[in-house]
Amino acid sequence: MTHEIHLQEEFGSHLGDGAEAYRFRVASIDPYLALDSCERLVLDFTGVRVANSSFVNALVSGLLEQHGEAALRKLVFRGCLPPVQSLVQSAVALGLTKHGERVRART
Amino acid sequence: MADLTARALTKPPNTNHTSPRSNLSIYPLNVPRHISADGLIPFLNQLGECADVESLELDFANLAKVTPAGLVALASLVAHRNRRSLATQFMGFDECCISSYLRRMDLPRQCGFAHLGEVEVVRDPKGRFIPLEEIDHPVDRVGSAFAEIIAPGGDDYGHPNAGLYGTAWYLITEIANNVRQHSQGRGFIAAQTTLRDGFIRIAIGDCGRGIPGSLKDAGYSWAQELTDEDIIARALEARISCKGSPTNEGVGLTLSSRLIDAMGGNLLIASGSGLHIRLKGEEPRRRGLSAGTRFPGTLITMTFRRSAAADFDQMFNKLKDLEIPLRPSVSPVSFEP
Repeated sequence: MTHEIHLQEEFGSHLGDGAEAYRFRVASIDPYLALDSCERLVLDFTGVRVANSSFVNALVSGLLEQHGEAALRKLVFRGCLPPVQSLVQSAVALGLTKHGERVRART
Repeated sequence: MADLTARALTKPPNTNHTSPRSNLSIYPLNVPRHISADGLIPFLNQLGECADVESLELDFANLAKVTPAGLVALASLVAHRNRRSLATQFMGFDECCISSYLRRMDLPRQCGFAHLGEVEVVRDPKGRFIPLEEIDHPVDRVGSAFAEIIAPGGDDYGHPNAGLYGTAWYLITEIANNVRQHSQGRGFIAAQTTLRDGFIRIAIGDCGRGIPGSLKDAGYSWAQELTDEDIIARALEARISCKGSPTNEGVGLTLSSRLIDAMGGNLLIASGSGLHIRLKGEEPRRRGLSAGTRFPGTLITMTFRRSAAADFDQMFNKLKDLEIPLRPSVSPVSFEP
């Protein structure tokens, strides 16, 4: 199963509010990522003009922090303008770092 | 006579102020002639000295020049005082040679002195000045409104102003988010674009706990031992500045400061008793305000050239090489066009 989320439809073309992104991730992304039957989860940024790190980190970092590299096997980022792509890359890196810290803390 | 009238009329509404004719000791503050560039820090010292006095008279008679940072600092100070029901009066407003400018910038109304500012606040169609505004709505809307004035038409990605629009929107929303995160108070924003020298000046401030107060309240042990200027410097190292969810780990403020560096711009952060100053071509400096003085909240002001902000995408890309969290993931990430 592929699940697609069109961010412009959800938030408009300007993504700046981290609190809003966090609430959306918890309610509308995390549950799909946890499903075994969801093989591909597309975050579609088509039509998004600008975003900031507050939004992208709240949306993406937590996914990686919670699910680790396994999330990258399902996640696809579509239609990112260059600055948004940079923010997504760094959010992934930040999330994986935090995931590693969590794993180390548990062991 | 004009001053007496002003005093009688300048009680902010809905606050429990003592009459100016009571025997409260009044602290007079002559607003300096110039609040710009070199004049800003001395003015912040002045504001810090009187932030919590019982009754304050701000005399505007000599004021001839003020930047957005000065306006935001004033509005934040008055908001801080109103929240504590401390009496504040505007004096000499009619004698001030830039009183009409101050009215157009909406300073009196934003400070609760609406009767001094009975002019229609209209954004200059040429984008030269952008009135003071309270940050009381979602930051992406604040960012869009200001970016559209700074870079008209730039919301269209193919427009010649697209890079400037992206830069302005990014900086405003990241810093406004940071202000909201740390403030628990009222926030303000003002901006100015000058066609003559090509500079863009944006200031954002609030009357909240300040960055040092926020980090101390969050329980960081290192923050308890440092001076306010050192705490601000640490807050500019990502993954420092917040706890809980949703977190942005200080990334927004860090990236913003490096973006301003990359544009050859200037940045000043005043919070609590600390200052952090980043000027073009110089190592970042940290220092304290005058002994015993504190800015009540946070003021962040930035200046950069319009031309330097034109290629947002390329500048942002350059930041990946810095030791900050814009480094790409080493694990492969799937992107589709």
